[in-house]
Parts: sequence; C-alpha cells; structure tokens
Amino acid sequence: MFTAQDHAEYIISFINTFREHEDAPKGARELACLRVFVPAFLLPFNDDDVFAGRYRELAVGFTPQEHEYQGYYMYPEKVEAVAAQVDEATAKRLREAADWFRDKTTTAKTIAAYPEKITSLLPPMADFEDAASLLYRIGGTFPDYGKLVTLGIPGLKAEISARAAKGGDADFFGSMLGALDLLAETCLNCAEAASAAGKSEMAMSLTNIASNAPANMREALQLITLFAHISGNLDYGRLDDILAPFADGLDDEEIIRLLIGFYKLIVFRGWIWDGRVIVGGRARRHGKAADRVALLAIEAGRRCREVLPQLTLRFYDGQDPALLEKAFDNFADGYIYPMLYSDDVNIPAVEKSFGVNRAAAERYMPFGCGEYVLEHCSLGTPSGTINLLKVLEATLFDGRDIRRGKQILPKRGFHDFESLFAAYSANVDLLMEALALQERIEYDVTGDEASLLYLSMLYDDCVERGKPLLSGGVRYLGGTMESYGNVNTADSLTAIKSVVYDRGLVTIDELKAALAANFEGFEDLRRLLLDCPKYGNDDDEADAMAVRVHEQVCASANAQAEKVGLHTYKVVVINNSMNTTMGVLTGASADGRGACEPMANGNNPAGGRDVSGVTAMLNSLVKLDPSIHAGAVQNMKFTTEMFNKYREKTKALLAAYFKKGQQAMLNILNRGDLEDALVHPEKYPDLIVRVGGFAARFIELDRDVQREIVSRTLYGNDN
Amino acid sequence: MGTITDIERFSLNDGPGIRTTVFFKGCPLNCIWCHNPESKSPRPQLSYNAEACVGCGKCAEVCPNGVHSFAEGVHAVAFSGCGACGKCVGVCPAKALKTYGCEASAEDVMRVVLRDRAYYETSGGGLTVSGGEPTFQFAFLKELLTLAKREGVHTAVETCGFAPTERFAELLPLCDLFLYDHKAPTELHEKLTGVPDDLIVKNLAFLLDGGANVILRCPVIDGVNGTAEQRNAFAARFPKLLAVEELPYHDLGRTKAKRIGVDYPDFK
Repeated sequence: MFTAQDHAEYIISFINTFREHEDAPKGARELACLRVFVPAFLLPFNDDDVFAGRYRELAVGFTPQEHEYQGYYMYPEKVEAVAAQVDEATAKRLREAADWFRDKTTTAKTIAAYPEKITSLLPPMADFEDAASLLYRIGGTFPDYGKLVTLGIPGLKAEISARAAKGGDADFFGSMLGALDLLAETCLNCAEAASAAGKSEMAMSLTNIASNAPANMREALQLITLFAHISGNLDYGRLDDILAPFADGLDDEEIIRLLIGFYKLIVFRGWIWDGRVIVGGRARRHGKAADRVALLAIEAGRRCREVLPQLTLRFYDGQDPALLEKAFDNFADGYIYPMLYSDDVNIPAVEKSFGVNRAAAERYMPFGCGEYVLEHCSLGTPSGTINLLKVLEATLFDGRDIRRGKQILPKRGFHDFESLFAAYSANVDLLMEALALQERIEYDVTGDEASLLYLSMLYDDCVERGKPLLSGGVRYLGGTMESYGNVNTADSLTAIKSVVYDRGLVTIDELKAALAANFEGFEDLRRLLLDCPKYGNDDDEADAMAVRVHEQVCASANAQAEKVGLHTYKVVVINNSMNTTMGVLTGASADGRGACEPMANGNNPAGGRDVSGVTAMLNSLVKLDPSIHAGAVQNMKFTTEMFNKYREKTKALLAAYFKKGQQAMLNILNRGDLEDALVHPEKYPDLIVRVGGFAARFIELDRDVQREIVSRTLYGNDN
Repeated sequence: MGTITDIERFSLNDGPGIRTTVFFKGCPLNCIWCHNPESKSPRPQLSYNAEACVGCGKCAEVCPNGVHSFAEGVHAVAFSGCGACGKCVGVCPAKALKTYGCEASAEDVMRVVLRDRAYYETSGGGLTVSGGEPTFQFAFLKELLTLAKREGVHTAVETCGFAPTERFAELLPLCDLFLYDHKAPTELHEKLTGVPDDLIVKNLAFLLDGGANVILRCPVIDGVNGTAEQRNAFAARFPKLLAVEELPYHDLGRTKAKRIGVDYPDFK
C-alpha cells in the first residue's frame, strides 16, 4: 500500500537527495536520485503476470521522457494533490521542497536558457494555439537490448570496468556501474516478492539475471522489461533478432505465451504513442531463427488484440514471404498490426536523408508515431510542432491568428501567388529556426544535468568514448520536429492560386472575408474552393502543390542542422490526434475546410476529399519524397472484406504501392462499423483503429477524433 | 474521340488482376434488367437525383432549353428537351445533377489507364473496356486497344457479342481476353434483350476458332433468363472457353434509370 503519506515522503526524499547532490558530479547525482526513485517507482507484479514489471506514476522523479517533461521532472499539480491528502506538517515540508525544486527541474532549466529568438516567438509550454509549439522529452530511444541479453548485468559491468581502467570520466563509469548494481538489487527485490507470492519460476529467473546473463527467453524478456522501465525507454526495437538466440528448444506455444506476457506489460505502460516492437527487415543477425520469432510475435499480437505493442514489420524483396503472409492473416482477421515498412524504399531514403552509409541506414527504426532513428546509435527526439495551416492563416492575415486576433508572426506583404508563397515560406523558416535552436538547447541542458546512465551504457560509442549520451557520447545527435496541416495547406494554396490568382474569380480580400466569416454568407465561394483539385486523387495540379509544400518545409528544417550543430534536423509528418487538436484551434481554410474542423492526418488526403479510388490515393501518397525527412505516416482504411475476398489482389495493390511507398498503417474495418459504433458504442468494445501514429479503442476516443476517423475514405472492393 | 460514362480504377471483377475499366456509352441491346441504363444511349445524358435536390432553382435559371421547372416547389425535369450541355450541373449546390457521358480521346483515356501501370504489373491486371457495348464505338475501341498494346498493357473487352463478325476479326490481335456475355437461352433471347442470339453465337464460335481467350459471362436473374441447366448446356457447346462466370443481378439499374428519366420495366 503506497499512501499519500508515502508519496509525500518519497517526494521530499527525492528532492532532498537532489539538493544534497546539487553540486556533485552529474553521474553521482543521477545515481543517488535513481536510488530513491526506482524502489518507489517499481511495483512487483499482478497475480497473472508472467514478468515482474508493474510500476506507479510518481509526481517527481527522473526519466528521459515523462509526458510533459524530460530528466528531473515534477508535476506541480500532482504534488499539490498529494499535499492536499496529508497532514499539515507534511504538506508544509512537501510544499517547501517543491518550491525549492521548481526551477531545478531539467525542463525549467531548459526554458531558462532560451534566448529572445525563442521567447519572442513561442510560449515555453505547448498549448498548440500558436503556429508552433515546444515539447520536452528525450524520446525515441533504442538501447542495444541484444547486447543487454547477451552480456547481462555482469557482462556489462565487466565491459564498463575494463574501459574505466583505461582512465577517463570516473564519475560516468562509476555511476553506470552503480546503476547496474541498482538494477541487480531491483531484480532481487522483485525475486523476493515473487518467492513470497509462490511464483517460483518468476523468482528464479529474477534471481538469475541479478548475477548472470539471461539463460533463456523468459530471463531475457524479464531483464528487458525491468531495464526499459528503469531507463525510461519506451520502444523495444528488433525483438525477433534480440530473442532469436533463446528460441532454440522452445515450442511455438511457449514462445507465444512469453510474448503475450511481455506485451501485457507494454499495454500496462499505456504509452500508446510508443511501445514499438519491430520485427523483420534487413541486417538482422539471426536469419531464420529471427524469422521464426517474428512470425510468433505477429501471432501473439493477434491473440492479444490490444492497442499495444505497436507491432511493426519491416520487409524487403527476398525476405521469407511467410512474414508478410502472416501480417495479412492479421488484417483478414480485422486486426490492425503489424504496420508495414518497406526496407527497399526506406533504407535508400534514410541513407540520403540522414547522410549515412547503407549499413547505418539498415538500422533505421520507426519509433513513436513514425519518426526514424538508427538503433542504438542516433537520437532524434521530436521537440517541437508546427501547424502549417496556421502559418498560412497568419500569412494571409498580416501575421494574425484570426480566431484570437493575436499577432503570432510578422506582417509580410504579398501581391501575387508567388509572393504569397514566399511570405508563407519566410514564416515557416522563422519558426523552424526557433524550433531547431530549442532542440539544441534542450539536448545541451539535459546533457549538462544528466548522464542518462542506463541509455548511455547501451548506446554505441558512449562507453568506448567515455562520454554520456548527450555529452558527446551518441554517434549521431539529430533532431526532429512534427509538421501538421501539410495537406490542408497544400489544398488551400491550390485553391487560392486557382480561384484568386489564375482565374480571378474573387479577390484575395473577398477570400479573406469568407475565411474570417467561416464561409457564412459565402457558400458559393466555399463550393468553388471545395471544387478545386485536392491532394489524394492523383491530380497533377493538387499533388504538385502538396509536393511543393512538403519540399519547402523539409528543406527549411534540413537547413537548420548545421546552424545549431546537430547531425540532422528533420521534419516528421506523423500524426497522433494533433490534426484534430490543432484543427479545433485553426480558422476556416481556403481548401473549403470550416473553422475548427480537423486537418488531414499525416500525409493523407483530407478526410473524404479523395474520391478517385484507392490507386489514385496511393499514387498521390508516393509523390512526396521520403528521402528528405525522418518519417511520415500513411494511414489507410480498408475493408476486412477486401482482405478476405480479394486477398491476392489486395496484396498486389500494396506490393505496387510499396515500390515507392515507405510505409502503411492500416485500419481494417467492416463498412458501417464505425458509423454504428458512434450510435451503439456498447456493441464495439474491441474495435481498434489507428488514429495516426498510434492506435486506440474507437469507443474511447473523443467525439471529434471519432468523427475525423469516420470522415476518412474507407477503401474496399466496392469503391 | 469517343463517349464514355466512367473510368473505374481498381476494378476487381472484370478480368484478372487489378484493372481499370472504361465504360463506353451506347448499346445495341435492350435487356429488360439492364444494370447500366445510363450507358444504353450513345449520347451524354442528364441525371437528376430528387433526394439530393434542395429546390434552389439555380438550374432553371441557367438552362437554355427550359428543362428544369419548379411548379409549386416541385422540381420537374423534362429530359426529352435536354441536350446535356452541363450548365445546370455546374451550378447545382447539392450535386443533385450530373451528366452521364463525356467525350474523350483515346489518348486522354490512356493517360488515366497508365497511371495504374504499377498495379497491373504486380497483379497481372490491365485495361478492361466495358459498357454499354464497346464494339458500338468501334473506331474508338480499336484506337484505345492499339494504344494499350503499344504500352504493353493487358487488354480485355467485355462484349455482348452483337456486332458484325468482321469487327471481332479485327479485335483478335488487339484483345487479350474477351469477357463474352450470353444473356439468355436462344428461345428467350430476343424477347429479353431485343435481339436474337444467332449472330452472338456465331461470333463466339468465331473468336474461339480464332484462338481468342474467352470467358463466358451469364447474368443470372432468377426465374427470368433461364436455368442453370440451360446455361451449362450452352457453355458445353464451347469446350475452348477458359471459364464460365455467373453475374448476380443487382437493382442499381432501377435507380439510375429513374434519374435519367427512362422506364425500367417490372420484370420480376
């Protein structure tokens, strides 16, 4: 039982520990804080758990990625909630500690380091009202779990000790060793609890991994689970290759049982935007054995039928076709996973986009909602967002947001389409500069504050170089930013060009009046705008504009890397439900979209605007160059019937798409189910849909998001 | 130039693989159950969906021929006076009006067809010409098929077979697959389709003798156009057929007929 009093004492103890070590070397401070954080954070297990690995949310702590913060974090409102439940004396001590800590959190220190270039343009904490927003996290990490399960805790300690003996940053090495001891202690604590609960198999494996390398698959998964929780890592990497060495001698059902047990704890974590388990693809070390685990991992997903893990299948020409077949079995069963990623498109694209060689590019990992990094050798956390449609809105209205009237960008004049596009581009560039600079500062401040000990020990080069992850350790320190509203912006520009400048049907002022009035009294003009060509129909005019918008924003980001000293700085065209969130905050747009309506999702056509069939839609998608960004989301709705009745033709459809298409996230639905679920949610408890870069139970989504998903075209054999 | 009613991409039921089906306008038959009454006439036609109409009257304002009238709020359409100029379609805010049929060149059509080449290649698909009756616009058909062959695109023609045999002779080198309809037993054929089947049967034999790939297709309207035994007996006369497919009846023709102002008989 963890009472409010316990929580309060924990918070005070954590902050005091931080305070006592304020001037200590960063590794020692991090380790001391972890020693307080980890025992409070971890819970042993539930009755039917196969693995130990439950935890509780704490108001204060240390982790690379909390929901809103990075590093040493504090949720003031959660601290206050605890204070409200404890006696006055404790509450007073708690509030005093929290007051002291307020400007010591890593996020607070990051914000304090911003120059005017950032503060004059962007609010420090995201509310998504403005054209761009800042985020705080060191996300999208892929530690080398293959190494973890091969060496185990003692092997890692031996490696670090051997390197430490050659000299260098003693604080870094010593603290990593201490962190491994803490991990071992944690295993033993869990083992004790398991033993007391009569879970002898669990107890035995926990005891073994505390002092030995994992001896079997169960121990490997147990070690990964605890390591992921404690390190704050949320995406699990190439599980098939990691587990392949342990698969020999286990029958299929036993492996599936273990995987389901492992998945359950990923579901428990509830990070629906992460939780990537990746199977298949080039450059795995264990060939056929890995393929076997991959098949079982896909089957385990189908049996779990949960929104997590975000199972991801990489495939290439020449890979065992059974893997893709298995994916299609899941689709025919109405299950959305795995997501599909074509290595044959992605590897050359990553090579070019990241400026790395082929071997490095083969290590690309889609994380989170769809951003790419290179497994355990690069970072690319998305630390900002831009709403391109809001940028266009402000460009049209002298730098103002039309809903609030607030000046969010400089006023720039324009007199024809090209000068309008130039003004829009200049605004994108201005925001991009601030976003990239923020990413650099976030990395630097976090690196000054913390060694990220657990991640550092499983990232290539860090131990060898004797440098923590963010202090020169990671091989490729890159950044990303999330771009939203791309498609509506392109469709709006197509319509403005056509209606105002090419055909002269209305003046720009008339158009602005219509947008400001949300088309009330301008119904004819709205129809004219809606009738303009739209992206998603294989239409040359509309798609060319989408390409232009895409290339502009990608080039704008790419140009920042050198300025701020990052290996790369890249756009990701992903989506969570931000297209709906930001849509609500964005006025009417010239593509005919009404004020507050959702924007298109990722790189996909605006909902219902693709009316020329699935091949036309797919042809539009592949016109956007994948080699200039760091990931994009292609989300498609298909009928279950199509996968069942026309399986071979559907496979051929996707095979053609994947000659140029980098990935596909599929929604597999029966026609009418979503509409019916709006009215009779009780009939659809297990209806899982992909929202954008994550999945959810449809009935649990907000109404706005539900409607946006319904609005997307559902493709089948009958349309 | 030719007149087409539609180009359907990702067509899955008109030949092998993923196809693009081009619907030609105009048909010499007059099947009582016609699935596509909008493709019977060779000319463009106005379609009016009464359920979508909002009664704004804009169509009446722009129509040069007085086709649209609004007496006591009821929108009446005088189809016979309509030249399908499309002016009313352009102003209808509710999309209740549309035109069936547009003029297109074979090159125009081919440009659309070629956009999906990648899908034909992975699926073994291609171009299907349907209708209406493709051979009704024979010069246009030949031009389109010639372009497709030049591009290496697989070609299929869905035909009712009612055309001079010389036309089929000319199609032999241009068409990789015939989807050949036989719509009713000989004794019922004229009554149900408006023409006897002797020419149709003769052309079928001609194609098969000429080495063509032919799939026989038989619409099935229960209790109206013959029995399974009759269909099987007919097919058995042509052992070189690649396959025999049955096409189930659907009722969409009735709605479409109403919208273009033509009668649809109550045959069931």
